[in-house]
Amino acid sequence: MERKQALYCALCTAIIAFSLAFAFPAFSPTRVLWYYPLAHEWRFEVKSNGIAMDFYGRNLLATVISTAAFALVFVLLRRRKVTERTLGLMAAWASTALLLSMGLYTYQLVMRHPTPAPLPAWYQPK
Amino acid sequence: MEQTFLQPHAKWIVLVHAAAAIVLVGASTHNFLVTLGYLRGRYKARLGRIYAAIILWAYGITFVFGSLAYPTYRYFVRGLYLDRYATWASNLFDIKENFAALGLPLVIGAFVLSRTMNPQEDRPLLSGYAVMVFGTTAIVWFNVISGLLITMTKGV
Repeated sequence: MERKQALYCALCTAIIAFSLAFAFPAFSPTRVLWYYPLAHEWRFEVKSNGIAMDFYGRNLLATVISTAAFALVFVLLRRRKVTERTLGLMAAWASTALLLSMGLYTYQLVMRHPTPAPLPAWYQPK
Repeated sequence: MEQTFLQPHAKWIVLVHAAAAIVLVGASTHNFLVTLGYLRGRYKARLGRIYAAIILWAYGITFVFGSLAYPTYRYFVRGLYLDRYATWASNLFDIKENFAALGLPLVIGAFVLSRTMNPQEDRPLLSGYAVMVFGTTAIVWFNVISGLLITMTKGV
């Protein structure tokens, strides 16, 4: 049972770490990988210059941090007994971190005024 | 004309992305009902394991193919059209893509727990498992409906 509980706590920790690490660049300037789809280039920077996407970079950042958090918690807890209260709290913290991150992105994006790309000569809107 | 990564294949990529999403919405809804059963004392654990595995594969395929079509979407759909004529759809897409990423650890967690826990004996683990399954179902339904609305406005 200790192993199952450790796995459960490590998975909940991974959800918390992923949610917070994924949202972190949205409120604190952080260097992440940006992909420039027209230049076919990757750049490691805080803000983009032109049409670029930080989705892959934020995913990579969150994956690395959550994998490290998962491994750390699993190693620390695999031979320890975890109380039922802690198991319930882990679920509550995981859902709170997830909802916070989702709420932050919704708040930031719902009223955004994006800057469109300049229209090329060949473009026909339809 | 400008070129983006895999642009000539974008329509096929989005088609596979949509097909996997159809599987995903069905499997996640069924798994939601199976998990609701766990909480009410009805244990269809084998079915839960099967749905969790289907969700893992379908989510993975949907996510990877969506990511492959993303550069084409970013310039030709969002950059040239949505950001100019339908900003609500542009913003909705970005909310959807962020939710999809946040669903990744939930899907992996639900799959791993479905293989290791016995829902009847390990009842203290059910609260976290329910968070993972219910969270995945909510994200999948939101993303499927958002994806349809955005594609109705402008596709790749």
